[in-house]
Amino acid sequence: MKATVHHEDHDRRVLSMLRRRSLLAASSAFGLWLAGALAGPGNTARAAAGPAAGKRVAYVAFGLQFEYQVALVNDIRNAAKQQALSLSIVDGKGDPNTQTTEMLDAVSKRPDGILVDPVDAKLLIGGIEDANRAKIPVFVLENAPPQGSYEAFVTFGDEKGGRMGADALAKLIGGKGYVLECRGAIGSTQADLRYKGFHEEVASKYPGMTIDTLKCQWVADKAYTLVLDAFTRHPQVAAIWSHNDEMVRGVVAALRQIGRLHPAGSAGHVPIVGLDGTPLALTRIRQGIEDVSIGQNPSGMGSDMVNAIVAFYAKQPYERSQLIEPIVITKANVDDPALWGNQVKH
Amino acid sequence: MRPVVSHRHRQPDGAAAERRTVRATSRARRQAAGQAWFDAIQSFGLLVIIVTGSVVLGLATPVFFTAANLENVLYSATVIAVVAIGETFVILVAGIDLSVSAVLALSSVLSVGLVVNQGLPPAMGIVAALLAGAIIGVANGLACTKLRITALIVTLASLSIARGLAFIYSGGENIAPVPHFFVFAQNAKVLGFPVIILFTLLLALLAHLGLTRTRFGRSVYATGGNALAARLSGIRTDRVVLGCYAISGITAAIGGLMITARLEAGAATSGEGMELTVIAAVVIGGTSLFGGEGSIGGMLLGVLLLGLVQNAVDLLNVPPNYDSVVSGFVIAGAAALDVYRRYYVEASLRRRTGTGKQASPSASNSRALESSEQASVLPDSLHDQATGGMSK
Repeated sequence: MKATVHHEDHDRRVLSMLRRRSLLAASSAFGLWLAGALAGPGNTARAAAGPAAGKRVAYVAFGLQFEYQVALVNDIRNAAKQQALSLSIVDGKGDPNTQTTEMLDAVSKRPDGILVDPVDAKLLIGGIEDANRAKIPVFVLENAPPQGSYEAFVTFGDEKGGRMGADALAKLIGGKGYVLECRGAIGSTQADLRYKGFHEEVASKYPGMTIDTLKCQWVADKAYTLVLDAFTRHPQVAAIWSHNDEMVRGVVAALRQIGRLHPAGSAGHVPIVGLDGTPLALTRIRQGIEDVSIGQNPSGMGSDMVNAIVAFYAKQPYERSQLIEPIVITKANVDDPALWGNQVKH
Repeated sequence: MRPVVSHRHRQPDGAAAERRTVRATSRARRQAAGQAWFDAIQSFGLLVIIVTGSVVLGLATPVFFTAANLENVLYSATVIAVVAIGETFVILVAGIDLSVSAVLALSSVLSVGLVVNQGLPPAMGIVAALLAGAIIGVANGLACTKLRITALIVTLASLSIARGLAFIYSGGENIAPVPHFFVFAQNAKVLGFPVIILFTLLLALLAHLGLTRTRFGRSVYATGGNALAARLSGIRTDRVVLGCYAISGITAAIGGLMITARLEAGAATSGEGMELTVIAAVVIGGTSLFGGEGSIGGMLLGVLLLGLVQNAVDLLNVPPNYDSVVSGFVIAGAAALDVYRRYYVEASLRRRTGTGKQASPSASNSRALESSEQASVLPDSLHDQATGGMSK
């Protein structure tokens, strides 16, 4: 998880970048105009003051198919705008292959930096090393690659989120019973860490809990079918833990179909703990359908990352590796306006 | 002399011919009876697999034959079944519609979004979703028939476009709450039977009647079986193909409404990758990818088989990832059965109609050509060349 930073390398990189930029400056006015035009509309903010003003950063996002990611991209876009960073965003579509191509395209455009949120960090090593060879600074969100170097890394405490999910669930069911786990995609670092955190916490603290893991792949409809069949197989389900809040939609549909959807506090209620804190999850918590969501913090992650990028260009000291702590969202704090799920408008 | 000789010769010849005729007739009868028996077995082959599988599953796990589990299986299968109705029409005319899952997603976000974001009445949201499905279907059909672009490419493009539009419209966020009607429809029961399942069966029945009892239905089979012959016999094949794609768009949109009701949100991610499951269900159900052959009943069995495989995997607690291997083998097995059936039926048909020996390479060539999509993109003059004028 630690960034491998070689200061000499870094200095050489900066020098080479400066040389490249001075060459660029010496080139024709047309070249400058073209470079500006390629940087996109964000370039208009170049006039704004600040050390990072006008720096062109290519952002290879995780995938705009996930609500949390959409919120994260929006927050980063806003934070970058305030710092007059020129951000060009491409959608990784949750696919490592697409991301690799996008990463190579980004490298060939020679931006001042690449911000990437890898779907599968191991599969993106090649792309990151390409950027390293091209002396383009790399900033990483969420999943750190095991090889290749990067200047800053901000992530969410997925493993801790899993542990907190286990604790919240154990509290709801008295630390014992048969628990269904809706697992995210196999191979997804987030899912692996949430799985690891949850299982380790249960194994060490709640021996009375049995976990039945369902391969729901982050998808609500899969969760629906798998939870239905899990209840048929084993009707005495004590509670359900889901690696994200999207899959809880399927869980709720399944519970309703088999007549087991009762709000918290009423007899026969099946406690549900999700993760993300999406707008719909907050609604469900208010309705008493979902008991707890382990909340993420996209705006915190976005501002931490943009601050790190700005500090890097300003050559100021900054934390190279930062962790965003998960928070527990229950009925008690569900209306907190600071929760990202309350800031997103439909 | 000659007449006498010929008469004398003719006598025994005639008797032999008669005997041969009698033998041939009885052989034909036996063959026909055997064939009918075999046909019945084959058409119910899938049913036999399903029933056998169910019995095995019932013995392996006692919960399988509970009413709740069977209802769950049917419930889960409804969305795929409805989308597969339209897909059956398209495959019957030797086309393919990959865009169904994306149309489903677009329908999902429009049906809720137009109500939540634009303040339209829920009925208008539903109408708009169905209209969007129909428009994409018609566009697919026009591109296939007028522009002569291969269906695979056309619908791959519209898959991408529709999915993109769904994400643009929703901004990547789930749209909620769904209008009350959706929740009501999802949970409604008639005489204890879920309305959603009845609705699916009703749509399937309408599609079945449409295919078997109407002129349009016969045109669908004719167009898919031999587009050139259908055109020559006066069927406006382009219109038939267009109609099939429009039906597919509409049923995909209905599927979108159903998944919205089930999961209670308009989601652009709905049904990702579902198109392959739908096509698999249709083909497993005995609809030929070359067109002209298949039925709604078979498709329903195909959908049911896939649903049961998933159910079996879940109930028997097949470890994660092994389930994909098991599902794959079942799909391959069902498809192999279908190919076997096709070869047998085709061979016996040739025997019965006596075309087996006469069938020249050019005839089989023409059949292969006409039943493939290539035929529909060839101008008529080229067709004649390719078929050696046989169709005239």
